[in-house]
Amino acid sequence: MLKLQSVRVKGFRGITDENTVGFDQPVTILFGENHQGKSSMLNAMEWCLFGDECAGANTGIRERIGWEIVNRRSAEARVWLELETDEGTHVLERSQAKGRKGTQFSLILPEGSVLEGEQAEQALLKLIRLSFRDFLTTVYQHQEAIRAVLTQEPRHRNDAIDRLLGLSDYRNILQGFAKPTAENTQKDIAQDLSRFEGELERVLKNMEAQVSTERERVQSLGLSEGDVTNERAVQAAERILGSVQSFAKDLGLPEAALTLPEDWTRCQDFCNEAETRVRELLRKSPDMTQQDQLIQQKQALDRAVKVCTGAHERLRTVREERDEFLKDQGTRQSLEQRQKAVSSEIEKIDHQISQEDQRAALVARAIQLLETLDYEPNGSVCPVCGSRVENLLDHLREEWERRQSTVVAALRVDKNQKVEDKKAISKAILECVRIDEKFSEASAEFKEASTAMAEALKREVAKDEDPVAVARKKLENVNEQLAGLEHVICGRQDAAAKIEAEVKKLTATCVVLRLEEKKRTVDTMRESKEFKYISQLQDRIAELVGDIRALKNAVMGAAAEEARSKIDSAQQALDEHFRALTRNPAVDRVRIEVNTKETGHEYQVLDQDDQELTAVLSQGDLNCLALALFLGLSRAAKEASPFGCLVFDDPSQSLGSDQKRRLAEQLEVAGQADQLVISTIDAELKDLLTKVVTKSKTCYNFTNWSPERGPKIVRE
Amino acid sequence: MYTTAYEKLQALHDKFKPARFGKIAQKLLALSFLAAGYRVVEREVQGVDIDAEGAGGRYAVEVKTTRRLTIHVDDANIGALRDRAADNYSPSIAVLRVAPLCCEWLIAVVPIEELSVGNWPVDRFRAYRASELEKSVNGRFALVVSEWFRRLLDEGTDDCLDQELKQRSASKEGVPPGGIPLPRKVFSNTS
Repeated sequence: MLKLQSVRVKGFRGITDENTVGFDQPVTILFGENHQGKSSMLNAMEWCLFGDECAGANTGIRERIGWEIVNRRSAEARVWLELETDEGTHVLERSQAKGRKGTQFSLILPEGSVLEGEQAEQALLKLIRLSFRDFLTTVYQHQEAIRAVLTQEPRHRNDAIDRLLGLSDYRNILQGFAKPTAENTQKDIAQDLSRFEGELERVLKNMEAQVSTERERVQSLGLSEGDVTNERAVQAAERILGSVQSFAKDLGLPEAALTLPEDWTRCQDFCNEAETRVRELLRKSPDMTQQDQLIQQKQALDRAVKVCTGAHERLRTVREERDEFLKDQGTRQSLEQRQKAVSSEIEKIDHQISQEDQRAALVARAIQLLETLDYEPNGSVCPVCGSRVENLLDHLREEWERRQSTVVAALRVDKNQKVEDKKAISKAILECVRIDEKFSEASAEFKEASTAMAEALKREVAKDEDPVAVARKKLENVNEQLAGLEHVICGRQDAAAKIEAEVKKLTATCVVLRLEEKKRTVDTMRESKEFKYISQLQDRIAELVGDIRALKNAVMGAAAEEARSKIDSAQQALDEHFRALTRNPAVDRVRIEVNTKETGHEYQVLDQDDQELTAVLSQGDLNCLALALFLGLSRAAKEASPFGCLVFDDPSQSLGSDQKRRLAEQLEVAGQADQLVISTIDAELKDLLTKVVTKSKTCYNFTNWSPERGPKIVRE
Repeated sequence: MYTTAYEKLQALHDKFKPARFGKIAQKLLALSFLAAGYRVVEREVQGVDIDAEGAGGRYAVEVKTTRRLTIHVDDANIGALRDRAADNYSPSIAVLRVAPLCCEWLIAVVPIEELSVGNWPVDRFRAYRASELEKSVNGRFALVVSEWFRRLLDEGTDDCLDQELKQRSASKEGVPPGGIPLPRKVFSNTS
């Protein structure tokens, strides 16, 4: 039977300076407020026994993730644990330097020999015969285990009970399965393909709509659904080729050089060629050539008649205008002569006016002179007109006035009239020039039109012939020839149109076949090695998912089986401890049932009527349930366990006063068989333990913790 | 071939709606089994959908059609398969997803104890594929669909399939052992 003798700790977690706790009494109480190093002292024993196994995420204890072993102010952690066995004292020493991985372990056997390293670890394993998990469930009640059971979330409580039962490894493995990478990949591939299929579906629907429209078009062209095949398309091409060749033969032209398509994919090119060829044949046919020539001739004649008629009309109009002018104004020569005569008359009047002006000036000077000489009228001869006048001055004045007002004025009026005449004659001469030019132009135009007409008629027009009349007669002849050709040409065009209609049908058939072919791209996709590879991959992933599922089920089955086995072994003790701790009048019996679900096993805490209890249990009752489970399991494991001690870390977390008393009573019972180490912050529990537990006790007070020194530990 | 079959099945699905389409697909599958040389019992109500027995084995087939990625397996399906498994039939689920890339039967022989009630991703059945059987049946299925498609659409009922199944189940005349040979390649220029 293994019992704790003492633990000496230095530089481990909350313990800085070296401290020793002795377990020389059956019951040891570690008492102190939170953060005074009590749990560090207990953890140090655990670490000394199990090393790295009790640190990190693998422990299943959330608080142990990222656990710092070496105290922050220390260079190393070192723990000595003395275990008393039937053979004597075993001294365990475990250390770890800061910043180093792994621990150094040594074991001093009772006879004094020292084992190191792996040899020491093996010897320790033989000595304690317990895994860390079993140690947790049967020797060392962790405060975290009770905290976890107190949680209200069922999934977490299942997790906590698993931990109490030492099944965390299963949970850890199942958590790995909870990240179903393969299943997600399978789902992702299926969804990706499904999305792609959605796209394909839309494309296919669009194509189908197009196919449907094109099929309707094909039917409207007189084809049946059965005609829309590769074979029928090639047959249609053969027929078209025959028609084109026979058409060429009928026209007397060389046979068409068309290549017969092997399958429908070549049919569209064939159709284009055939259509071009038919149009070419039609264009080059002798009838069409003749028709073209006649039409050209007709157009030339029409044009010439129009031009000639216009030119003739214009010449006639200009000639009439010229004749009328000559009639009114005379010839240009006569007009020029008249212009010359008028000019001469104007010169003559100008001369007369000049003579009159000179005479008037003489009279004016005479008057001026007479007026200067203070003239006395006494009759004299007028020096201007030579007549005898009484008063020469008056006479001269009258004479001057008469000449100015009548003779000169009359001359001026005459002259003005002549000037106007001259202007009118000049204007008429200009008009005559214009009409002459116009006449020349019209004559030239008519001559040109006559020449064009000769070209259209393809012969000279005689002087005595009316070119327009000749042309009209010729036109009648051309029209007669065209009418004669029209019937023949219509026949040719009908034949060509028939071939073109067949080509159109074949083209429409090809459109449908091409769309159908496009749709079959999906078939190509399906037949591709890439698609087959994806398909194989999907099969393999499905197998993998199946295997993983089977594996998961196996782990879940094993976990449930082990849980059942442990619960069954501890069921009676659990019931007794729970009822003893709670004394709940509503609970005559408590048992835990393990249920297997698809997601894992679950625990149900049931009462005597198989009613679920956890929903009605208080926090204190849940705390009791965790303690009862621990006590039950440790009792059940008693025979197999080499440890003769039980370690409790803060067991009264949510207990009321009565429950604490009953806990003390249960510990009194447990203390009869086992050495007890109880860590608590609870003064009430400490007092109760002092009063209720009958075994000898010792108490260590943990106080004044500082980062530099760690706790001050004083034995009471 | 796949596209043609898909389009036809899609048209039937649209015409008859999912529930009736499921039954039509079941009968077309039964005819495909017949064409592949199997003796067939096809049931529209009660019991497993198709019993198929031939050189390739004895299969009890629950038929599922879907356009989604999952199918539902219910108590009745499992019960029916369990009954037939007791008579030495291989319990099978045949799934037809009406989608452009997978419009074929996925036939999975699933250990009866592994079947559970609920929605199953179609891909989960891939782990249990009876590849040879699938190949044999799917090879005939496209032809069977082509053969009956027009009539089903025109008549608007699947009575013709019932008559055919009745007639052909009664007599195996004309079907050689191992079934009607698979075509080398199916051209589908004609609709």
